[in-house]
Amino acid sequence: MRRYWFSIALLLLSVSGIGTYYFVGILNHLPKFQIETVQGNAKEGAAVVLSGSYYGDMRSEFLEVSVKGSKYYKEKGNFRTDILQANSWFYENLEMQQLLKDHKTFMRGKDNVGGFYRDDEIVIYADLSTTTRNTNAPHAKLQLSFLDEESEKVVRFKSIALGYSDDIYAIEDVQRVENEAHILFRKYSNQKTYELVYVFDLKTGKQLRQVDVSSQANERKGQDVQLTKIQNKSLNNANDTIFFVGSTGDGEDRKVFYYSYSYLTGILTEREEPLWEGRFVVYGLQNELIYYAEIDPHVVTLSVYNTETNERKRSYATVTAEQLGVDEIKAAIIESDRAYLYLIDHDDTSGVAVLNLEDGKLLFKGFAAPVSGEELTEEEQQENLHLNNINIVQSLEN
Amino acid sequence: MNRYLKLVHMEIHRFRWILIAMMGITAIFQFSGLIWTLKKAMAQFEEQKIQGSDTRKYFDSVPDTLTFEWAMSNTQMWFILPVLLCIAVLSLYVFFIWYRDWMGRHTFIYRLLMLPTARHNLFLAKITALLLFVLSIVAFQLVMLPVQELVLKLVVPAELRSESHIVDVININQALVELIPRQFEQFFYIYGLGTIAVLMLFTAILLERSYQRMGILYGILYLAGCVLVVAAPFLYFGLDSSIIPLYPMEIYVLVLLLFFVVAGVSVWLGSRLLAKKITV
Amino acid sequence: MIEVKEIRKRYRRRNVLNGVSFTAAKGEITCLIGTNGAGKSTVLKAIMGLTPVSGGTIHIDGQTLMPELYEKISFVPDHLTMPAGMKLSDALRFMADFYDSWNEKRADELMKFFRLEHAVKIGSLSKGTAAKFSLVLGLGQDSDYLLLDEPFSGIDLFSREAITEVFTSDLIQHRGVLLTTHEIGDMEHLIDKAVLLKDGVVSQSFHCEEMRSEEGKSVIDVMREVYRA
Repeated sequence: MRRYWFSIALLLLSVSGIGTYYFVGILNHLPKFQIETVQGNAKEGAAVVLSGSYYGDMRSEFLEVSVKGSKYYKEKGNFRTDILQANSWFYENLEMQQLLKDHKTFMRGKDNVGGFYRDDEIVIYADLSTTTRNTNAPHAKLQLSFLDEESEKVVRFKSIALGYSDDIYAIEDVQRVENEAHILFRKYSNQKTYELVYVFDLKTGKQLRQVDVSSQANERKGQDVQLTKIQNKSLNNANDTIFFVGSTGDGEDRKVFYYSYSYLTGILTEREEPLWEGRFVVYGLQNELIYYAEIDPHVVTLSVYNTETNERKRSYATVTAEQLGVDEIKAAIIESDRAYLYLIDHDDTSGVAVLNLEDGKLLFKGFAAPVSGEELTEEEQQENLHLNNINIVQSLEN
Repeated sequence: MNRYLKLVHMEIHRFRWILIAMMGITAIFQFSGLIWTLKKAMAQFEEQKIQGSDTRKYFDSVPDTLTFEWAMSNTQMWFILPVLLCIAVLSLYVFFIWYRDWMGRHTFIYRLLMLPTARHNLFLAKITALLLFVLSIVAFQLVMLPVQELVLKLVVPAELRSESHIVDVININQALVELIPRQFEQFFYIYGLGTIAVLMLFTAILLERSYQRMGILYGILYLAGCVLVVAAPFLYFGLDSSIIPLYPMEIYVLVLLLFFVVAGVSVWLGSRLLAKKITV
Repeated sequence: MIEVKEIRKRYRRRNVLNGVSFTAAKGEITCLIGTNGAGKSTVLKAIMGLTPVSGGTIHIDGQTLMPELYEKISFVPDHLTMPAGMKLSDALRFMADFYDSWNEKRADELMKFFRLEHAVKIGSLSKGTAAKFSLVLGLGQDSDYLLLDEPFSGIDLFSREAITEVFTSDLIQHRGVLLTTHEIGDMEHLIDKAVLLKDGVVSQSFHCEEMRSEEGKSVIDVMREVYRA
């Protein structure tokens, strides 16, 4: 046995050296943080993720902080998480998560949120043919899949030809109008962009007609209007109307217009009243209501505009930095009946306030703070924490 | 089992001097480089204090307190060169561990093939030994780091130094950060991948030894085949797959499975070649 | 008994072995004779599982070759097959480690008989000394069969005498020995059976005593007939 001492020593060295490092050595490398609840219900803050960097001696570490705790990007990443991260932005969408739960097989291989439509009876998915999707290959081909919610039967129409070579299409929206599937495309052709709606028969997949949306705007203005669709947060649009922001000119001459387009009539209407007002605005469209928040470092003002009745409640709620007890309100996000405010406190600490969208009431307030029990003093840790971004990540459990 | 272990020991025993030399060279380079850097840094620090900061500088700036992390950052080459040397030697030995038994006047392969033990033990003993060489050198490096930190504490007086975390020290070194990943799970993936690559190479080597000239071709084809099998989930089952698109979790599981399959097939094929097709 | 039946082997488009069949019995010394390149070494290597055959069967005491059989059958190749950096004592320890059938006492006796020093490195041995040590490694096993490839080729006279002495001792008597040579020379009185290889097949196979008493021919006489024709 003594003869084998070298081999045994080698084995012991390997196991103890590597084992000690990974189970003892790497401990307590980076401090832990979390969003501490200062006021309100912690559940309201569950979806908030603040991100930024923690400054070490010579390098900084990218991290995310939430109510649950902190995750350092480099510490958590490995081959497995890299693979599982694929298309995470798609899987993080709440409605996609629901669809995945309900129809896992149908959802295989789909990755465009804008290509979905769902109501009680049917799920529609529109996609550009996989062989030409990532190329500028000629003859973009459309694929339509119709899933019957009850029977779970799927009808597919493949290779529906769209247009000429050199044209690049992107699917922005899908809407059902009775027995028709309307698909809004953004088409790039000859260095110009067009918004087009192609209409297909739900049963046969045949192309019924096309509607040129952007030309309606261009004709009326006598010049090219840059149309940008306003995002609607839900998959099924009850009143078949979508909204665009149009702009002409740039710099000093830039003019902004607001349009609504009805899938039912195919008509693009310019709205007399703007959808929102104010300089630094974030908005959230929930069915027919457009909620918008004007952001100022000292105050946030909430307003809502009803696109059907044209009723506007300007500044129905105001929240000041003082009221919240902070130095600055840096940003806001409107999402699912809530307004999330990104706060900067007196000593540069990042925090978040969650307001009820309907009345502006404060539901939650919390700040990023070190979790106690670490080696560096808490002050030093807080000093080294530099968060600068807010994101809302929802999951079905939240 | 017993004979397998004895074979492992034999493989380790015949490589021991090279292993010790590699560790020795690594130690010498790294300790010398570290001490040299520290002394130069302290000297420059003294000069800065006396004459202000515009005298001839070796380092761009010397911080008020030296940390191991800073020292490592400025001694990179001395640390990395021996690591590269070890990698080169071990890579060559992947081939040499087999070919040395056929070379020269004393073809040891005769002896090995005539041992009263299943021939797959020869294969397994070599991979075990090689894996142990790699892991022991990595472990040696890990063990040396706290010792080097101790040296820093001996060389630099207390008021001029402050602590670093070992993970930061590793991260700032461009070679070590790749060889010693942050997570144990990633360590398992990287070194597992390396092991499977070596298994594939072993089988390719045995193909060459069994079929002479055609063997080299078979070996290359075998390697290409293995790579294709493992890459298949990404190439053929991704989001735009026309066969069946898989969800990320499914791809992960499939890839893991295929790696094990390739490893298993390599061991099986290599063992069969050793048992039935090998020729001296 | 070692039974070789119809073994074939191709090497670079040449049929080195084209259906070789013979037997070597326990307690006898069988000699495989052939010109250079006739495939004698190949036959021994095939029996020892060191090279594959493309046809035919090889049985040792009725069994096909498997790892356990290496305890029963030992091979002395035409060159010493231990690493040059090993000491003789290390090589002996290697054999003791892996073979249950290794007889340490006998190995030591043989070392003394051949006057070999334990602490010498293998790489520094002369050809004759290396051959002697090879024999130690082969005979140190309590094996039933002993295969030797050209045991006398290129060896000086005195080493040859020492080796011959071993052949006639009881170390060999009860074993089955199969050896190859291309110069029968002074070995003729040692062997019991001769197998002549020509053109990849066994041309003649006979017991020397019978050949002498019945046809009055020596082995060399038969060789002349076979190889000159």
